[in-house]
Amino acid sequence: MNYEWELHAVVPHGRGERLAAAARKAGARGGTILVGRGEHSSPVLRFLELTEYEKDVLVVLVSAADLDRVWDALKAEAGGDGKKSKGILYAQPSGRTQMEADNGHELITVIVNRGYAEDIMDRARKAGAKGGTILHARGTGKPEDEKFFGVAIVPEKEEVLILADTDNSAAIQEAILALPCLTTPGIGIMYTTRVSRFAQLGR
Amino acid sequence: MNLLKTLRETALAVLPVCAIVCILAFTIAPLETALIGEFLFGSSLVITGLSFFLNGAELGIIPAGSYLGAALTRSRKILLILGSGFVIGFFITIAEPDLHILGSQVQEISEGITANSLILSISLGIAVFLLLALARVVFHISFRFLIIAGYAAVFAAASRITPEFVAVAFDSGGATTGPMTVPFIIALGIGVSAVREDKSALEDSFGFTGIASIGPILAVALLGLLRAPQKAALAAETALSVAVETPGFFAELLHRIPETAAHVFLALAPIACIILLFQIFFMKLPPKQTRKIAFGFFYAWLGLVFFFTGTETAFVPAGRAIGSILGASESSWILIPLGCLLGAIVVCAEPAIWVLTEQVEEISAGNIRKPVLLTALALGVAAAVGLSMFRILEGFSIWLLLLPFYGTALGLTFVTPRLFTAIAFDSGGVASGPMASTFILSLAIGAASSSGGNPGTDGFGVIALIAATPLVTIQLLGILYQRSEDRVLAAGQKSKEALR
Repeated sequence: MNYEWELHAVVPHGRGERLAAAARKAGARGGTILVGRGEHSSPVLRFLELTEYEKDVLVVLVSAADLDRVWDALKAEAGGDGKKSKGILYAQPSGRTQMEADNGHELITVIVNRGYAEDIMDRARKAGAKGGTILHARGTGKPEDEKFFGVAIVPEKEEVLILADTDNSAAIQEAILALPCLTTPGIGIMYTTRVSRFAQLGR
Repeated sequence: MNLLKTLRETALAVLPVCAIVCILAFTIAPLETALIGEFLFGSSLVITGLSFFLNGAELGIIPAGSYLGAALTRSRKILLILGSGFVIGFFITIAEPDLHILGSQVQEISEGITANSLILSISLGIAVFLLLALARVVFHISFRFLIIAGYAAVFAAASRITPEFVAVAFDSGGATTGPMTVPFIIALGIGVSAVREDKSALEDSFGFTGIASIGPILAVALLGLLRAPQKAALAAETALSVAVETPGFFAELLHRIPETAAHVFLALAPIACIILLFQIFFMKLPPKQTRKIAFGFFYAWLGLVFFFTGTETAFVPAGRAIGSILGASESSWILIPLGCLLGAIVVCAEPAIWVLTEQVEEISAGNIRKPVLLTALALGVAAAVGLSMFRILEGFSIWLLLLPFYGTALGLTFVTPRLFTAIAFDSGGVASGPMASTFILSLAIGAASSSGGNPGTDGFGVIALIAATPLVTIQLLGILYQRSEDRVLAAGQKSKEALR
C-alpha cells in the first residue's frame, strides 16, 4: 500500500488519542503522537512568561484514496471550523505525490540546539507568525563524536514548527536568521516544506 | 492556560483533605468554628501557593537544573562534574531553613553537638552523596550497589546510637530534601542523562534524590557515634509549646509572611547563584530562556511563601487539635484508619511529589502516568501513617517497622526494573515533605501527647516511615508494570507469528 499523504493535527495535550482513534476508524492504519509545547499569544501572559502549554502533534500517513475520509473524520472529531481555534490540521505530500492546488501555506521547520526555541518563536511572532509548536528532540551521535567513559554524548535539540502564510514566510525566515544568538556556525538548520491542505480546528 | 490548569489540579488534591477535616470537625472531633475558618483560609493559601510553585518549578528550576546537568556532561571534564556535584550539594543544603531549625533543636537536646556542627555535617553528607550520585552515572556503578552500601552503613551506625538520635538522623533526611532542593536535584539528574546516547540513560535520569537523601542520615548517625547525646529531651515538644500561643489569626499571619518570605528566599538563593555562575561561565543560555528562568524562580518563591504560610497557620493547628481530641477519646483506634486515609490524601498535596510524578511522566514519554504513580505512593504513605498511629497507641519500637520495610525495599531492588527502583528511592525522600511534616506530624504529636506516648520519638516515627514505605510500594508497581509489558510483548509476538 502506498501512503501518499502525511497528515499533521496539532491539538491541546490529551486530545491526540481521540483524534488518532477517529483517524483509524476512517481508514488510517495507525498514528504517532508527539508531545510538543506552544505559547499563548496574549501579551500580558507573554510578559509574565505564563504562556507555555502542552500540545499533541498527531502524525498519520494515509493513501490518496483515504485522504478525504480521514481528513473529514479528524475535523469532525476536533469539532470542525469554529470561532475559537483548538488547533490546526494540515496535509503534506509524501514521496512523489502530485501537488494539489496550493492553499497558501508553508511549513517552516527549524532544528536548533536546546534553549533557542523560545527566542525563535518570539522573533517569528513579531514577523507575523500566528503560532508555532516546539518539540523536544535529540541529535544522533556521529561516529566522530567524542566518547565519555564509553558513552557517546549527543546534543539535545529543539524542533520548531511554524505554519506560515506563503506571503510572509520569507519575512519570518529572515527574522529568525537575524537572531543574534543564532550566529554560531553549526547551531541548527532551517528549511521549508509545502503544505497542500490546511484547516483550523475548533468548536 | 497552564496556571489555571495547575490551580484546578492542586485544588483537586487539597480539597479532599479539607473535606475530611470538616467532616471530622462536625462529627467525632468537634473543633471551634474559628479554627475551621482559619483552616479553610489556610487551605486556599496552600492551593494557590502550590500552583504558583509548580508553574515556577516548571518554568525556572527544572529547566535550569537540566540545562546545568547537560552542560556538565557535555563538558566531559570529570573533575568539573564531580566538583560541581559536591559544591551544589553543599550550598543548596546549608541554606535550607528547616535544617537550621533542626540544628537548634538538636543543640538543645544533646550536649557536645552544636547547631553549626550538625548543619555542617549534614551539608557535607549531601555534598558527598550528590558527588557519588554523579560518579555513579559516569563510571556506570549500579544504583542498587550504592543504595545497599549506603543503607548498610546507615543501619550499622544507627544500631549503635541512642533511639532519640536515630530519630534526629532519619528526620534530617526528610528535612533536607525539601521542596526547594528536590526539583533542582531531580532536574540535574535528568539533564546529566539527557545528552547521553545509551540504553541506561533513561533509568539513570532518576535516583539522584534517593542517593542524596542517604547523606544526611549517615552524617548525623556518624556524628552521634562520635559524641553520644547525654540528655534525651524532646525536640518535638519545644515545637509544640511554640505554636500554642497565638495572638489572633491575622496578626499572626502578618507576622509570619515576611518571616517565611525571607526563609524561602534564603533557601532558593544558593540555587539561583549556582545557576547564575554556570550561566556566565558555561551555559550561556539565550535571552528569552534566561528571562523565563528568572520568572520561574520568582513564581516558585511566591508560591512557597503562600504554601508555607498556609500549612503553618492552618494545617498545623488543625492537625494537632484533631490528633489530641481523638487520642484522648475512648475510641482512639479510629486514629489508625483515619491515619491511613489522611496519609493517602495528604501525600497528593506534597509539592515535590508533583514535580517528581510530572517528570517521570515526561521522561517515560507518558508510559508511567501520574495517577498510577500517585496511587502507589498514596498506598505506601497510607500504610506508613496507619502503622505509626498503631505504634503510638501501642508503643513498640520503631525498629520493628523500619527494619522490615527497608529490608524488603533493598531486597526488591534485585527483581524490580531499574527505572522503578530509582523512582522508588527518589519518592522515599520526596514523600516526607512539608505536608507530612506539618499536618501528619502534628496529628501524630497531638495523638501521642494525649494518649500518653512520647511525642518526640513518635513524631519522628511517622516521618521515617513515610520515607520508607514508598520504596516498597513503587518497586512493587514496577514489577507489575514489567509483567504486563511482558504480556503485551508476548501477545504481539504471537499475533505476528500467526500472520505468517
